[in-house]
Amino acid sequence: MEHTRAQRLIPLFSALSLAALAACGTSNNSSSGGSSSGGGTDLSGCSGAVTVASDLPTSGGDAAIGGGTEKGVKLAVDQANSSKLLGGCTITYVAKDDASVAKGKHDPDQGARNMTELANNAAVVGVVGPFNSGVAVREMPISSAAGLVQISPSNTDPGLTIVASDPDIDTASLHKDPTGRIDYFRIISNDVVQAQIMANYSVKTLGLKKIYDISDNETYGKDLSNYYDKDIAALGATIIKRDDTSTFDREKFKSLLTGVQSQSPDGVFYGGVASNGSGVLKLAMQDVGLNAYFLSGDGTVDPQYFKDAGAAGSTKAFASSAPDATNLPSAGKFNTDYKAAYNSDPVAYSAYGYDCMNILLAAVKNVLLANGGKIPADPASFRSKVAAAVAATDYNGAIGHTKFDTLGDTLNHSFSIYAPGTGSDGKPAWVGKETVSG
Amino acid sequence: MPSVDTAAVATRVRRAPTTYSRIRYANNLASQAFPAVLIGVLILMVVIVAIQDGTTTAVSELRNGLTIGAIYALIAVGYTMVYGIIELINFAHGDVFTLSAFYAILFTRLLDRMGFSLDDLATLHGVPGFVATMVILLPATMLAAGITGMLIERIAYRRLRNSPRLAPLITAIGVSFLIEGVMFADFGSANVRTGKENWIRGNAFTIGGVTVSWKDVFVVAAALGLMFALQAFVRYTRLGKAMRATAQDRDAALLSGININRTIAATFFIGSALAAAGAIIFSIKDDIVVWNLGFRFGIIAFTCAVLGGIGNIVGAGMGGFLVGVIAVFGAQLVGSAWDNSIIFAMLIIVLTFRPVGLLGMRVADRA
Repeated sequence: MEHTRAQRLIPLFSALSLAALAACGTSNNSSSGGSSSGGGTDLSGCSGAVTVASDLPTSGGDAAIGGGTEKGVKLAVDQANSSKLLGGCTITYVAKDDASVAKGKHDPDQGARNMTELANNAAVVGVVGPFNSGVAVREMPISSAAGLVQISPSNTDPGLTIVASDPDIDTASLHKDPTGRIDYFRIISNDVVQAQIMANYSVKTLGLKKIYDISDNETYGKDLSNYYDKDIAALGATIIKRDDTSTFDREKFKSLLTGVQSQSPDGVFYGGVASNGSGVLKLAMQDVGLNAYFLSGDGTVDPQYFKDAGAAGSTKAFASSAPDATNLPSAGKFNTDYKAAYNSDPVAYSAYGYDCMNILLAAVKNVLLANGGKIPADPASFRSKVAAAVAATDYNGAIGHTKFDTLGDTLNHSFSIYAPGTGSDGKPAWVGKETVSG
Repeated sequence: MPSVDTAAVATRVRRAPTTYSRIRYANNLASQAFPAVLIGVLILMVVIVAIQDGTTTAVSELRNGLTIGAIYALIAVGYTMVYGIIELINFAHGDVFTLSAFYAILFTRLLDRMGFSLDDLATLHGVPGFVATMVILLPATMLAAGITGMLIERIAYRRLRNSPRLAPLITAIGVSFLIEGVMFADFGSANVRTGKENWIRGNAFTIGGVTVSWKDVFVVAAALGLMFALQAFVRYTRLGKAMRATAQDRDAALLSGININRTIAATFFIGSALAAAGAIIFSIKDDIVVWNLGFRFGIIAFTCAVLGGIGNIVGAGMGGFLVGVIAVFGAQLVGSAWDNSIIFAMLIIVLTFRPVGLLGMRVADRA
């Protein structure tokens, strides 16, 4: 009984918070109104607030990368509000953190709780996130059942969208929209493409023959390692051993590396994220005196890698990740704006978060325009119209051109190869070397 | 303070000759064969790895296992001492270990701010510099950890000393969460580098094609030295004698004029101080700590204590090295994803076939 009472209270609370937040939004607007250029004239009669949200890991082990991504998202909202993108309507932004104290990093359970909350908040029309594929697996059934559109800046597990591409994911069960519509989109290509690019780089560019593959035993890491293993074999090189570990101590990695040292691997691939010890593994390679290349995917392109690895992190390491927005000509303005707003450099996914939110806001704008310049009265139909508008996206943003296929995947299949370099603050950082199209 | 049950004391006194040896030994075949089987399995594992992956791999894994085992041993000693004396599994002990590593970081930072760099002292002046660093850092951290341990006992456990055993056990888990929460709030959830990695450098010797660094030698030697010192302390000093007496029979110890509260507080102090020494040794060895490190290390160390015979200090030390080596070789043979499973399977096997542990439990005859 208490449960239903609580459920009955949710609309009330959301209405209250919406009113409060709308008031904040308006005051923000008026204070920065001077710089506005007055985006949509047709929306000048629009009144009220549109609520958008993000769900990213912004505390704990993922704080550096997740927080920087959230800043990109917030920048898009702030810019849209100050330029009056929605005319008389304001944008209310709800930021959720899917890192939990229990895990100290991204937590699928926390993501599911956040998504339930957002889905139950009828005012929310779209969500940017999540960051991790493992979190997406838990969130997608909830968001799609509520017809809530979700755009991820960074999920790369192919199983999220492509049926039977990942044995661990039942793709069909993730899509629960009652109308059968796709509600999940992502603006980055998937791990099949990424693994292939990394395998090509390992064998063709670096000339590696014997590679030792370790995964962090999570949805993302394990699959990336699986695809990589297949691609390496297809290219004629050898995976001398494959391990999956769920403890990420220096000791553990040392012991693992000791086990293969007699076969003298010339490369070590890590299918895992930095909060699961990419940097610790690199450090352990130095400990045991294994002078091999360290290779990894986008999960490693994270400042935490250098915090863990220290000086050992800067030699003989390569990782693939989404095209480095700091080098892309299309991201020039974004990089300047980001630095001006936060007085720090964007992280690898800041521009991706920025584009996700801009795509969502552009879709909202189209819906409002089609609705006679007003917010649709029925929240459910507002959500479904936004989802349809996102599906029809044709957007030129900071990371380049984004258009979605019928499964919700982007048609932009580029990845960059990153190597350790120096950031603008003089500290070690991942720097994009070259961009490859898959 | 426990009320004295005179009848029970009288019974104990009458039974005294038969319970002269307080070490409870095993008494059936499976249990008696256990040590031999364990050693046999261990040797077999080493041999199989040596055949499969070469002797170099086997010897380096042996080195890895012994060095991590030394750390487990130092934590296990704290578990076993507390269990021996008040029959409480002090789940907060692993977290005291992690907390001590952070104490050491704070202390180093504090000195650094005052213009005195322990890091320089340790790295720039050879062996004397390192010894001096230890002379400064070790007592300070051990003192802080010891006081923390005593406070935990005073605040959380003393009131529950005569409650049903479940109450202090659950309290211990609560204390563990509390300490973890404090570390999480203060140091964040990501790995923290302690900055002690370069305090010991260079290789000591090469054996079977495997280089053993001075650091490895230091880790094992320091752990052994501390455990021998503890054993001597417990055996030959007045306080040690009081601790043993309290462990054997708290009421009788009380009757003979031993200050039980002070003895138990001292046990917590010494156990926590040893964990602090372990934390510094671990910081020099691995240099990476994280807020929840103590949870896993704590449970592993508990396994070591049970394997050696809970309450038995020598047993805990031995258990530490054994678990370290078996976990490393088990992971090598069965697959790395199984390392924790191997350790805890071992805990179940010990509890099933030889619950008294390898060297026998050293607890009062009260069950």
